Amino acid sequence: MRAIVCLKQVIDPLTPATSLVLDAQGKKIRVGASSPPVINGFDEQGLEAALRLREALGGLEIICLAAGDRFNNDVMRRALALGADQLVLVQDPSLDTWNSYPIASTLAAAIRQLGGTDLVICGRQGSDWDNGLVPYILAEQLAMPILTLAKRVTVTDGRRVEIERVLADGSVIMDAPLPAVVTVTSELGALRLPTVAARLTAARKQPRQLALADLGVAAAAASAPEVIDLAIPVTGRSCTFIEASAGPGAGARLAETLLQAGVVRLGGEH
Amino acid sequence: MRIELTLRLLVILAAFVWSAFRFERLARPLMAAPAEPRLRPLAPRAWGVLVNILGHARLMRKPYSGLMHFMMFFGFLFLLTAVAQVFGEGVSPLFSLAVIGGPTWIALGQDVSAVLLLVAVAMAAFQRVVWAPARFAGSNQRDAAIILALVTAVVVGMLMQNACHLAAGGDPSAPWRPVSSLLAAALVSSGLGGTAAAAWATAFAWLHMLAILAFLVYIPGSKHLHMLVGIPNVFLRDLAPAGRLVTPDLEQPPLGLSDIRQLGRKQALDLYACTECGRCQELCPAYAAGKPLNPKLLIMNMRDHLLETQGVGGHRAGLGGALIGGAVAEETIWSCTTCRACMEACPLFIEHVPKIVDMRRHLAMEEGRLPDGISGAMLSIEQRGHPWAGTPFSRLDWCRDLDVRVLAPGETTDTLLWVGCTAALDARAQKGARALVRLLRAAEVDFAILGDAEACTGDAARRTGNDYLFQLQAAANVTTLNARAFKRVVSVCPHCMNTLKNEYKDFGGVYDVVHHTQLLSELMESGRLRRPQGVEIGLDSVAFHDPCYLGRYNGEYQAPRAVLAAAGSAVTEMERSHERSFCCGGGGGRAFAVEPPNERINVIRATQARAAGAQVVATACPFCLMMLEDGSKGAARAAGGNARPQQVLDIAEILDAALHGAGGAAAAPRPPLPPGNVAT
Amino acid sequence: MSGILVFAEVDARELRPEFWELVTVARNMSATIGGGIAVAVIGADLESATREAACAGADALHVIEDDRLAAPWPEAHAAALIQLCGELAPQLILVPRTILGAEAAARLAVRGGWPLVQDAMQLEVTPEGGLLAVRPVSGGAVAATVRANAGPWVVVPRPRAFAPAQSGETAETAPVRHVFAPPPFATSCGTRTRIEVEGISVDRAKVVVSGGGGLGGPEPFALLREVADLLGGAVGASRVAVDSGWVQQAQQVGLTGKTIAPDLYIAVGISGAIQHLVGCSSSQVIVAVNSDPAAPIFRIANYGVIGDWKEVMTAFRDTLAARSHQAGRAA
Repeated sequence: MRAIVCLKQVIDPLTPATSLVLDAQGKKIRVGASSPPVINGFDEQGLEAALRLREALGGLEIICLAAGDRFNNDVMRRALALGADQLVLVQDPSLDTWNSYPIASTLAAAIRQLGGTDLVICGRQGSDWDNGLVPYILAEQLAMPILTLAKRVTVTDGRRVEIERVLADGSVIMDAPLPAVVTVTSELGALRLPTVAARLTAARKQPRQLALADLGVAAAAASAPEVIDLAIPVTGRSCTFIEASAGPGAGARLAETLLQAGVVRLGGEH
Repeated sequence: MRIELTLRLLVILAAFVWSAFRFERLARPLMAAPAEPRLRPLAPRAWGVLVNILGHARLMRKPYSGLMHFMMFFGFLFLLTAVAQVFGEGVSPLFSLAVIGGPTWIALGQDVSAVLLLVAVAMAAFQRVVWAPARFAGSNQRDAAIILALVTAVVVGMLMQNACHLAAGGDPSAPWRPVSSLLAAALVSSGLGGTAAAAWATAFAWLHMLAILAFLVYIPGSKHLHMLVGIPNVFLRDLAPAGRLVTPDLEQPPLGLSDIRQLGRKQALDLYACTECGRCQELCPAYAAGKPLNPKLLIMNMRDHLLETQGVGGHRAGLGGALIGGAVAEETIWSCTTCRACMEACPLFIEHVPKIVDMRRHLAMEEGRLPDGISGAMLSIEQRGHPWAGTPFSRLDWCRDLDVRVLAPGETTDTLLWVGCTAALDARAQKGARALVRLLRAAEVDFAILGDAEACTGDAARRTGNDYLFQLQAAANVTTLNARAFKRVVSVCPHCMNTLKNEYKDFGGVYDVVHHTQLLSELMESGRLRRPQGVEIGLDSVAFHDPCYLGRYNGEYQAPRAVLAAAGSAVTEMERSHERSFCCGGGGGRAFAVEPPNERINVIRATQARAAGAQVVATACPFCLMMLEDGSKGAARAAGGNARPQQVLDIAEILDAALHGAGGAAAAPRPPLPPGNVAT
Repeated sequence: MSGILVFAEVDARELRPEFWELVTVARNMSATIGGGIAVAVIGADLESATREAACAGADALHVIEDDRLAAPWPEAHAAALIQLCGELAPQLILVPRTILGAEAAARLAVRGGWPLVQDAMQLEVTPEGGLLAVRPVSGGAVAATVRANAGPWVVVPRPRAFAPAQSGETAETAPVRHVFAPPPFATSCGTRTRIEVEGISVDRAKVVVSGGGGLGGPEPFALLREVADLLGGAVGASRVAVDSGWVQQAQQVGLTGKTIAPDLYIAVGISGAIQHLVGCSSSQVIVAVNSDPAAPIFRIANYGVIGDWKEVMTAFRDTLAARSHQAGRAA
């Protein structure tokens, strides 16, 4: 059985805002060299889901696939250190885009090139654009059903994939026949840590490169919005401090202030 | 007579053979263990033995126990003459120590030693039974009782043997044995004499001999093994700087310690040396906080586990399974803050911390298992070069308005200021760094920082067993540092200082490194920083909290106090200060771990600081600053009523306020606004 | 292609409250998009939800009621929405930013090949007939202005970015019922597990009183519950409180996917770690109570009190209780 885990290399989501640089020309967000990229957190969890499946099934071929414009191999090799059988990268300047369609089409073409797969696992969304659209486009192009927001992924009798999907107030079990696309979310749990032996072995491996031109990606007929401006927002909020000589006085004054401002209405009536 | 002699010989032989088997089984794992290079240099090692074994240096920190052991030790030493006589006479009745003074000064010495030993045994028994200090909790009381009983039997046997011999008459050593003579007189006056006395002498001689032989056979299974192992253990102690952990070759498995047979020879010898005295236990901050770590039990469990695997049978059975998860629980391994109070206290120089770090290395590097908070911090170091994921600051934000020079590759400066991750990225700790910059400016020190080129030294990675990550960080930082020229490095944080100074040598980084309080002390002393006359500071009493990595690890206790004194503050000493300082709880990666609310080391230390009654607690480490400020709130809550948390300040902040007035404490910069706030 | 279609999501027979914000957006956009406003109520057991939706003053009300739409089954709900769009051909489709809504919007947009704008905070039609929107990216650190050309446009507005419209008094619009005719389903939906939360859930509450590490233990949450009860709200917690075992996980604010947007958010003893701020910053009004004047939470709060939480909140509760007694007596 084979699972392909789609990874995206993104700007470190914890980069302090002061380190972000907005490229006005290219309408892109950049960071300095001191902020290396990372693998999208949700995608790492997708890899964790695949590793757990491998343990449960007693064997699973795991291929990690990524499409982007400029890969940092040290960062991407983490996938190999964790036990992926292959790391496949499609690198092309045209993939530096926030339009989900070229990315998804490239991934779909690469999957076909690799000979298809039983399961495609993605993170629920990328931490840079937060679109979460690529998995749906993938499912459409590969003609596979899609199950989303999994905190648990299992394969039942080799034919169906079952997930426990996260809801706001609980969860629901869903399933679909293989081959299928599954997206995972944070409740699944963090990606495990690699052993040093695995890291040293992975450091010697090279990812497999696929050229975009060879994949025969058709331009998508779909229409996506275009970014025409980027700006760092300024908040309009400023804090009014409630002054009082002591705690109890402040508490009482706070209550009065909120009541008068109409922020608080008693008895839960709104 | 012949029969008796033959019997005696047979018994001695049997005892020797039996104990030889037992000793062999102890020696086997030691000989199988890989040896570390600990034989050189000779002179300091020998001196250490003199000072610590003969001189009882560490033992004397507890005067009662020290004195008791002193008497026990030298009494026993002298009674080796009696042991020689027992075995010698056992082999041949012609054996005698008369040539070297057997009946004269040796006899006197034996009598005196006997008294010393009996007093020491009484003192020991009194301490164990009546005082029952807490440090003995968990120690093997039965073993201790047996030892005391055997010592008593040896001494009483010898005394009574000599007394009976004297009573029988004709003993040339009579005038040299005051105590035995007294006993002999008592025996004679109660009607004992002549052949009866001789017979009793023989009987007591047997008792004496049997007690000695029992001792010999018993030692391998007892903590009294320290009699034989103590001297080699002190001789082979680690003479490298305290803050330097061994750099493993990551290509050579096994990484870390997962099986007791992987222990190095000296590390295994440590286990035999433990006397279960509990001095480590009573000083351990994790133990005091109720965490599942007891350094004494750690060593005892590892020892018993080793013995079980050798089939010798340790004190506690059932420790024969796995090392990690069996003899030593994982929570135990992660509870340590690496403060070194245990190692500083141990009279026999047992190395607790390297064993714990070695087990962490196995868990972190071979199994990839780390507690949550710690693994997150390590991942952050790997991904973004610092452990403080989620900080709104970048490395230069703390000093953007201070116009601090950033040293580019190829450039030169006098002093390289190593800021460290915490002082750069934590809002509270930044204030200390800013105060330091003001002071350096006032003293006209030529200094520069690395800015974004500075990456985590990796201290926390190494102490949590992630030596792979540590080596990556070390290699990168050494490349960065060696591309620039500077006379010396001044570090804001003691952990950084320790690693840069002591551990980067293995990676080609040899630097002259001092801590910021050491630099400040120099500047005050040389007059480059001067306290203006008649300035009101308002800080009369300050309690100084000795950071583990500045104090115990690098021997610096004076400089911070000198700075405080020069700043016009009176330093109040806490009960646990200097080498006995009580850790803030932040070391060993613990600053990043999720702490259960009822196991807070920092609250305990903050409570101690409150008890000292000083206005302010002064620290010299950004981690101590954070941990104690947080602990201070907990301590105030526990004090109840309207108790306010005690103020915690870095030395630099205190000196800055003293020199530039209270307004001198520079306000921390506002960080950029958090995400999600979009103009509406 | 004309008109605006508003997807009214129904959960457990109730209309989700985000609907009223969508109505505001629809009304705003109807100035530049002709063809009227239609509301689509999709689900099972829709009697009361339909009645409530009918009070929105829309030009048309379409209902797809089917047992298969009882569970929050994304494929089924999306299919219903796709079906309606096929029949009605709207220019703009507005979908709420809920777990189900966001997915339905994505499936719809991908199926139709239509532009999708998520988390829109501002929306307008350009003179050239395109759609201009502002949305947060990079976790909110950056605001992106995007433009979509020809429609139909699928838009998921950001919660709290638009004021909820007032519901009309009477059910004006008569519902048009459609038979649910989806293509064969590729996925299937099984048993649902609900986590029982005491009182109102944090996601739905209009008022949330949240406690953090500064509280020191589980007992202080009792005081917060009293305040929440007085205000008709829920009790939330920061990650520290949940990790320390003081409250249930379900009360955690600031977990990925659990962004809440109540009218009033009171943060007690919460310093404001980055994840928590992201989770609550969409609140209308934020009040912070903390003994540390440098706590990051004050940077996004509207009102702040620097002091001991126990003293402040006890007095707060007492004042509210006294006022509500007065209000009760006066009524």
